[in-house]
Amino acid sequence: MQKKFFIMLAALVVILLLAVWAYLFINSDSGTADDIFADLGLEGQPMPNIIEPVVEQTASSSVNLERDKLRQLTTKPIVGYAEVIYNASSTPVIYYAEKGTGHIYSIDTVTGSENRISATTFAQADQASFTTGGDYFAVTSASNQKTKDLVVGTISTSTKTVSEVFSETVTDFSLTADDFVLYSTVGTQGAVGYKLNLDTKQKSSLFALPFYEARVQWGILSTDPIYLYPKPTYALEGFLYEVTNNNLRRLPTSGFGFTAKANKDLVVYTASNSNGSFGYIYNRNTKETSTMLAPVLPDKCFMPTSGYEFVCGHQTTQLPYTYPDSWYMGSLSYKDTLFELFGDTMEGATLVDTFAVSGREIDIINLTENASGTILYFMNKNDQTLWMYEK
Amino acid sequence: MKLLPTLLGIFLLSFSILAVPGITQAQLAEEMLGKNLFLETTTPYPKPNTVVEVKINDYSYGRSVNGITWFVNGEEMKAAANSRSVLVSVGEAGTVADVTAVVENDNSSNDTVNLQLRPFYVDLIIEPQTRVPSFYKGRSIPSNGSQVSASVILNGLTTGTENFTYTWEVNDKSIDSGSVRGKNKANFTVPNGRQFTLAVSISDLGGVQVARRIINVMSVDPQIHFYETTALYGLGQRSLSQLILTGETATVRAEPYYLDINTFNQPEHLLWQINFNNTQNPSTNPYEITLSRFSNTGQGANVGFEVRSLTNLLQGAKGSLPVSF
Repeated sequence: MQKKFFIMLAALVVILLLAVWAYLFINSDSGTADDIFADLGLEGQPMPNIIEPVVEQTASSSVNLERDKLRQLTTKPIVGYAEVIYNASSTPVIYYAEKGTGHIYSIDTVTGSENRISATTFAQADQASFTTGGDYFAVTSASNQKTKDLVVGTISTSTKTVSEVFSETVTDFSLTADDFVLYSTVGTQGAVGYKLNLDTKQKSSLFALPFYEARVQWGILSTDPIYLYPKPTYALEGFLYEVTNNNLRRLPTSGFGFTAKANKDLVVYTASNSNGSFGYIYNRNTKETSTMLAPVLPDKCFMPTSGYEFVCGHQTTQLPYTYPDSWYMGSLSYKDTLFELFGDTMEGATLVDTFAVSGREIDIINLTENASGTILYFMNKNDQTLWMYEK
Repeated sequence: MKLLPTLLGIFLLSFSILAVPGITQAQLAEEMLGKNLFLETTTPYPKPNTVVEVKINDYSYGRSVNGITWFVNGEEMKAAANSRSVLVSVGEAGTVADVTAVVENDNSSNDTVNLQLRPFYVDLIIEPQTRVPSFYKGRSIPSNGSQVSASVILNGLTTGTENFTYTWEVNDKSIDSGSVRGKNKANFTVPNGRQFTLAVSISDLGGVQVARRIINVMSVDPQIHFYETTALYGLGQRSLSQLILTGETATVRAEPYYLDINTFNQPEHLLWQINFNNTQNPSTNPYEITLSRFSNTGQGANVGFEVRSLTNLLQGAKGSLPVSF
């Protein structure tokens, strides 16, 4: 009984399968083999019976193709950079020198393309500077001594080499926008400063100090005032001097742990007492000193040669009494926010919290502004990479 | 024998002077003592951008003062009329505040006295001769037994350094056993203790003190910081609290901050330790050591370093660095 039942069921299934095969054989309209294999039903052509949902278009649905305002320009550590403009009609490019090799690269600010424009190696390069026209390059190499060898050269983009035009043993240096090299070196009684016209090779004295350990804020032009002070430490007092026409003039700012940045209208400085380190702004026109609620570190600021507006990297935190020593030692670092500050009204505005935007701990140093005042460039002290922020 | 004629001569001379018609006691004092009317300040030297009190000193004037008219830079200070002092705001270093007092005396005549205030800064700059690495942007700090250079800058004076004498003192002991002309710099050894006082007195060639500055200077213990160093980049600039050895080897430099330069250059005792055992360091630079991992088991090690002068045991430091691999 059971055996017959199974045989009948199997025969019925076979008949049904034959009927289905016969129907498909007669009525199907298959495409080519390629069409069949491509029609995977996922992202191919839409199935005819699927009804597309109606998406309501809104006014803000356009795609934002702009790049982030805060951008990392290099992944390799660098020792110096400049925004270079060849002539009035050219678009700016960024020159930078790679740490360790001294190789020079350029970054096109429009396309973002990067090219190596000098393969001349300067072993253990640790500081570099460029003229804003891109004609001259200056570099020093790391040394165990307080002085180091400076080489100034012209950059040949065709041969990708640097041709030396001047060398000197220096303690500090800077190239100016009008093609001068400003440098300090060790004299018989203290630090001495010179400026050398790179086009004419004419050299003249800038200052002669009765002490050696000086921090110098060089001018953007060779004729700009120079500001200098004894290297800072929390344990010893420092004083600010202005150098114009080979004349050393004391400005009325001083203190322990003294660091400063100055222009014709302002002095921003830190000074410490037994309660900690504090920030101050001295208005050179009204001769008034104001205490900053949140002290900024002048090493993290950019000030134009005049005016009350300046920009600083800053982390809102109490400065330790050992500032700036612990920061210089590299045992303390910051996650900075960029601020725009106004020294006359003592007001400020946040530009960007670099940590919130990038997720990176950026300890801002070597902050500069481009000629049009629209872009800020800076380095991260932690890894010495180059960054930019479009205002 | 000669005493009697001498006394007689003095008596007659005095009598003859007093007998001259029109000469009063006050005039006598004026003639004998000089017209001792002058202006003085309460501070030994004015600092720039400060307020200075100028007083009239008529202690030896010998006349009654009936009225005083004050002028500062030619402008009459009416609020200070007949006051024995005036408050004067001095300007920047290098400027001059000209203070004049016209004194009306009991003889209905006027005497004029003048004082020029020339504010200037006295900046004392300390430059310890102790070790900091070349990348370090700060100044070193004195430590016990280290050498220190000090300089004084008089900013605002047109007079050159060679026209003054300088007396330098450390903890009230003169460095040069007295004043030295033109010596605006001094070198000395830091005395023991957490701080010391440094004083400099500056006098003109007439012996009048024009400035004196005393400061307390901190003295600290040398301290070790470790940095990674590579052939390509040189010395790193982040002080290592620990080293994570990701490659096979790493070179570490011990930097003894604030160690006297002489001890740093010629260390009498210098020691590297691995896990508290002394180790030979084949590096040409005794402050650098190359570390190699010896297993892949995720173990760690402790690297110790010590440098010290054996003649001055306070001139030394030691530190340690945990290494993970």
